[in-house]
Amino acid sequence: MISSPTHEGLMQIVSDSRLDRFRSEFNAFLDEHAPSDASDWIFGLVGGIPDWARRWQAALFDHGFLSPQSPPGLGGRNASQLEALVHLDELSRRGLPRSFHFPGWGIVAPTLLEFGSEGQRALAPRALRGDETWCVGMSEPGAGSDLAGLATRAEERAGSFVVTGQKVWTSYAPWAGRCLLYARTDPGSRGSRGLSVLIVDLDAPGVEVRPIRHLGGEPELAEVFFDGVSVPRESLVGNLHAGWEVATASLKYERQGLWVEWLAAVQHVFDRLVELARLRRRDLDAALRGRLVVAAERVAATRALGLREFARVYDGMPPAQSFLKLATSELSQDLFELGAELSGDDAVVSPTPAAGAGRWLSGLLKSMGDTIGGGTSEIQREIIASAALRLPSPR
Amino acid sequence: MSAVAPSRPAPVADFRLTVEEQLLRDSVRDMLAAHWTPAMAREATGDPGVTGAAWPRLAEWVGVIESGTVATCLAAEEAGAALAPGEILAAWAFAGLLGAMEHPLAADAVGGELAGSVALDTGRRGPLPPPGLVLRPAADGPVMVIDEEAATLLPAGPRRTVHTADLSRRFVAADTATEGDRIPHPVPDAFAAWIQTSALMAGADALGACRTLLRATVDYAGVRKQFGRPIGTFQAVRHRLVDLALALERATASTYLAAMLVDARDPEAGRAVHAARASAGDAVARFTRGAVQLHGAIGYTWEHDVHLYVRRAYVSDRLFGAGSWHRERLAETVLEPEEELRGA
Repeated sequence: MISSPTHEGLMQIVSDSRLDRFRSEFNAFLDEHAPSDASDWIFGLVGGIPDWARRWQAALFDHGFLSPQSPPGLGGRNASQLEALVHLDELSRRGLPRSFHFPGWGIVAPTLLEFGSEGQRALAPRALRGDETWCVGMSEPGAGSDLAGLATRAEERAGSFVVTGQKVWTSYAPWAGRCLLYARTDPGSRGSRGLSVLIVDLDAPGVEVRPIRHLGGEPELAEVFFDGVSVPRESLVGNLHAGWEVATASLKYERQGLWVEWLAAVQHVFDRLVELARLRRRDLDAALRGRLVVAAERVAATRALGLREFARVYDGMPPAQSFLKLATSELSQDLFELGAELSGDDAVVSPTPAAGAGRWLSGLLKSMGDTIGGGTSEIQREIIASAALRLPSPR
Repeated sequence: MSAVAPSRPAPVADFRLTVEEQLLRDSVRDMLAAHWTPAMAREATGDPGVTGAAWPRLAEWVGVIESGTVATCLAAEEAGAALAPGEILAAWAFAGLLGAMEHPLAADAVGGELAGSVALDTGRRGPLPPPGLVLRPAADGPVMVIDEEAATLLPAGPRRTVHTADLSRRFVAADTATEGDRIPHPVPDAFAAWIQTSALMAGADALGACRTLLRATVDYAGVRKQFGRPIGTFQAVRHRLVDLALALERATASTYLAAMLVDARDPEAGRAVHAARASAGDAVARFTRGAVQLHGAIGYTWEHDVHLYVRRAYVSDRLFGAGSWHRERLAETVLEPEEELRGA
């Protein structure tokens, strides 16, 4: 009889003294620096970019724990893949996002580092550390999910670009100093061709930022108007008319980092939900208990999905990032909804005049943006249908 | 920086693909493709002898359980995907149990020479799954009956068939009242790990069947035309397929995370297994209805293979604790963490 081969080297739980050391050091850092006020922010009771959030991101950067695999000047410590995994695992277990204003470190800095000139790359450390707040100008009144339909123009004139148009739903624009702007540089172009990426100073003459309060009450979005804004030629990021390439790459950056933020927030909300359920054990009827355990199952599975996504990134596998975006954003709404139901009238009674709702309903209202921003759930499903399932294109 | 905090163990789940994983998947897949087809599964409904002909080749793969829970799940996933005979799952559970018991026949069981099966004769409460269906052992082999305290080996011999919804596997009645030598569970950790591995194996089998259903349904949506275009271009169809795929991705990731934790004898393994089987149950429920629905009328026929995989997944979701039982155990660990320390 031929015996089956022995199988070693399969996926496994890994542990060695070097990883133990890394985790100990990171835990010591977290015990000292982790913000204690993150919960109110995640639940939408406070908004904007609080001082503690800036201190936290800067501390991560300074200690090489923002993105450990990067070199020291970029918020890292040249860590190994497995150390980076320990880092993400610990953050997600503790329910701690790295940053409370994601565009700078999550999208802009990686874009500048990959496509930028030497001068532009020099802007990356401050974006990563959170010293400078950035926004990304993609959505427009006529181009939300359909980025290729954008109409903001940037005309080349005598060594500079003149930008005219309007962006909308621009996250963090009320606090941002600069915008990574997508504009049409080839006037005769349509669709995904003829777009370029520019760095635009939001203090420049002709720029107007009008904050938009989201339904939870916080002005975290904005309309941004550009009326003949002059932008120097050296503000072009990457090649002229090659903006689509940059946009595609920014999805890749999201894959590499943002999933852990989503996962961390989900874990954070779930941990609070379990505390609430234990506290209100007597109100926990069979139906609520059933929903709670579905939530527990979903959180565990989504965490496993996240750990696997990490591995996929390093294996160069096809992206499953849309799966995670879809799963975490819909799951966090389920969790808030369940918490609101469990907390009875506390969900609707506002603790302060400004809060506008109780803790759990406030969280639910705020989280409704998660299934819209960064590609709606419907768009994520379309991406998965085409890219992962390879279903025929609807068009 | 402050003094280094007392650190809990720092294991981390490494999902990175290895050559060995792909090799194992491919080997089992190739073996099944060569010796077992859905048509044979269909024929086997009325002719158990077909299973007998394929058995010697399958028996070469019983030893995979010695490579651990991840390896067993990888193989079981392929078994479910190919509607492989239940005898191989029975043999994995049986050999794994004998190994955990350090039974003198363990080597024969792992080598595939002694193929058996297991039956649970447990209470409905407590850490062990409730009694469930018993997979038929190959060649009418022995059945090990497990209760809360001990295992009893029922001798080989023909047994009454229990007809089930699953057309791809045979189940038998195990007369649990039969006298035999009661062997107390001697190695609690190994025994607990065996239960966990078996539960994940059954879940992986169900997920394998779901994987085949997903691929078949996606393929069908790509070729079946209505209104002049493939139905896979319609968002109602696309989005339901994505939700099936997401449920499968979640459950599969959860299963292998739990399998890694079992292999590492991690204290979180018990809870992770319940979570994984709860996720598998969710996936099975979605595929049971979704795969048939998205095939339209052809999926509603006896001739089409869809229902074979639906039946397979549905029944696997009942083995070693139904999805709902695992969900309830998970609820206990979430709401009453002290339970976790006492039992499981």
